[in-house]
Amino acid sequence: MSFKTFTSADIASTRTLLHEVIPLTGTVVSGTYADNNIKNYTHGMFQSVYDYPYLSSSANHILDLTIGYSPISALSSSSATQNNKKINIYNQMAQVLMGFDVTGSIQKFDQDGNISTAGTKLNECVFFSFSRLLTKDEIKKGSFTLQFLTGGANTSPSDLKTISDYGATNDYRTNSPAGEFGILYTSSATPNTNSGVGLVYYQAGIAVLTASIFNGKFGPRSDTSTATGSINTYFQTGSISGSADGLRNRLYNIQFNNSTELNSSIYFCRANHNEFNYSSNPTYLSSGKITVKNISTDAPVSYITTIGLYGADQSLLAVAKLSEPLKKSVDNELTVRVRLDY
Amino acid sequence: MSLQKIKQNELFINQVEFNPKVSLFIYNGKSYLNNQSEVSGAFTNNIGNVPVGSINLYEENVDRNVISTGLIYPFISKNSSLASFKTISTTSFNSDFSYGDIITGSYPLSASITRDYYSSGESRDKVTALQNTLNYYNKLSQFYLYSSSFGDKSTIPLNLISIPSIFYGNNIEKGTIKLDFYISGTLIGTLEDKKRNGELIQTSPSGSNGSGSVAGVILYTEGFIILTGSWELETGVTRNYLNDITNQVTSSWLTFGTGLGNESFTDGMIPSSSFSMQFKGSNKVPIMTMFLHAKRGELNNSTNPTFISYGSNIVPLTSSNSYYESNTLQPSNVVSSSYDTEPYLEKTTFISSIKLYDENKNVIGIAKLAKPVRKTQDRDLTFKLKLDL
Repeated sequence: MSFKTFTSADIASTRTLLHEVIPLTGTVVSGTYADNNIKNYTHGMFQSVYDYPYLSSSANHILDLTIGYSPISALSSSSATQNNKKINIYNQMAQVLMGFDVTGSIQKFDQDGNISTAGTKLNECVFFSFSRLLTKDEIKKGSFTLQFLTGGANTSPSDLKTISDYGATNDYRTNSPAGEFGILYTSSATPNTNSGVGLVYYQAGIAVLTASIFNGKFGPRSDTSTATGSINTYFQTGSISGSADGLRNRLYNIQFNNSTELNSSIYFCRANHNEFNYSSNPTYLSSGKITVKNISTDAPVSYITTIGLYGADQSLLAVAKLSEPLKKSVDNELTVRVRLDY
Repeated sequence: MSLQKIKQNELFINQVEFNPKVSLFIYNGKSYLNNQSEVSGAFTNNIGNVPVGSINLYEENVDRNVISTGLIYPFISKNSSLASFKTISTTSFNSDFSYGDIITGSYPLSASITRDYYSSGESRDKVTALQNTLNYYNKLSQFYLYSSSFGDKSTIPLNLISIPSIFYGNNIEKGTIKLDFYISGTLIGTLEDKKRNGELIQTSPSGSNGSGSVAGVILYTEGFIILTGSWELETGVTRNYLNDITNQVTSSWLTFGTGLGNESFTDGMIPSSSFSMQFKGSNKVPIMTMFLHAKRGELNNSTNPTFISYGSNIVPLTSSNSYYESNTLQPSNVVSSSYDTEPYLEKTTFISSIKLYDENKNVIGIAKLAKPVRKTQDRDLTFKLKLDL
């Protein structure tokens, strides 16, 4: 075993992005498991969706669904069902995702993401909060797609619309305390400042959608009452979990790619011609002779099987094993590339 | 928000050892981990998408199949870091992909306990690779020796069972291994490491053929079981353990675990034989415990805007050459009073989270309290934080 100290030229750092394709069909979210994969809570402020009945240990949490409106929304009324909770949810989401203005007031969700100008605000919103298991470090920009049946009655929804962060690979916003975000557009609209229908926060893993993209009767599929009206009516008169049921009823597909950042340190272990040609391994010598040599006058030779990385205090930190031993003699020089991922 | 340095006597590092019990039952070419059988879903007959005796490494494709729901799969873009998937060979990486190309992998990936049977004289790379390791443990028992008077493991018939470390953690707990061999539900042999030295000794049934003999050894740290006991466990009865009807053999420790992967197996090949394997793993988890003190007279101020009484103008005055913050802002008085008078102001904060910083003042951890804790000027508080490393 021999030691050699790395110089700064021997160490390099790289970053690699590992992605996963995440398809979530609407059938998983609505209907397949007779809603045994849907968890509602006594506080009634959001609804959790699992990929399998949640009582099973195999089930994974996929996303949380909730709705909210701003205090200045026309829907805000003391007579509205869960009025305070809907406002609180909007405010909580907005303060985390949009932040505060100079007066300490919570910024509202903005249609084009440009909070420095007045612009159109999204005052009635639905929120999709995706599990960290699916979004990992972040949602990949330009890969987020939602498909909704936005029209028709709640008992027979129709009018499939595809909503995506078109062009977000190069065009995204950075003025959110929660990280980067993109604008969601419908496929039929030409992206401009007035055509956005929502926002997707890549690092937070949250999508915000304006309620105005839904038309027709809104509500859970099972709600056949004639009182069921537009989404605005339902947001006022219905519960948050009922609205979440209505959203799942219209959800056709969700697809995105996630990203995981892999940081690597690469150590170039250089063995010059006159280095590492001898071993202190007990089996290297037999009766005072080097066992891997046949003729005593030959130059020393060794076989490199393992590289140990040591700290400044000579403590062993990591071990790299070669798939097969490398022959090292005075005739050759080797550079072994050791990559440490973390 | 205020910063305090953690002192040496406020920080402890302990180690907790976990010993998860693992049981594997093998019958008719299938293994059942911890007595779990297949669970049927809406889209697949087996929601885990991996064989039931396996551990799913990425539990993301629950009850999914390619056609109806599509599978989650990983991909990477080839770049100068040369990172790729293990399933892509170096040659393929260099020749089949250009820079910027997408390289895809696949889920699910699983880990499973496997068995390799070697007949007399058959070449055995996996056993050869263990030669040094086996000889190293010679100090525990002579039965470990690769070649000794107990046999030459390079040539004798041998049954190698490989256990991936994800099943046990750091190592298999010594003395916890137990192998049971059943014929038609009747126990015909049990191996245990009674001496905790790695020797697998036949302990039951009492008085059975080979009882008290060493049938093999176990490598607790490396996760291998090597069985060499060739005596008959069931006298005079041959069975089709080798999937060759013309070459039937008697039940012995060499046939233990038949059907456990890595070999050809036909459904119903050995309908009467079943096997059970039990052991405990050992996982050592270092735990850092920190005691953080909020002493009286400290942490009674907050930079949160709501700390200032309602209606105060907290917006600083700015101009091209000045920045002015008011010095007369009053903290909110949250002291309750039984009378209709304003009580004396007592600076009060509510501690809702504690952040851990490194020496460069970067946040490296956040501890959230279940409920905000009220901190008054005359109150001493200590928070105990535990961090699993």
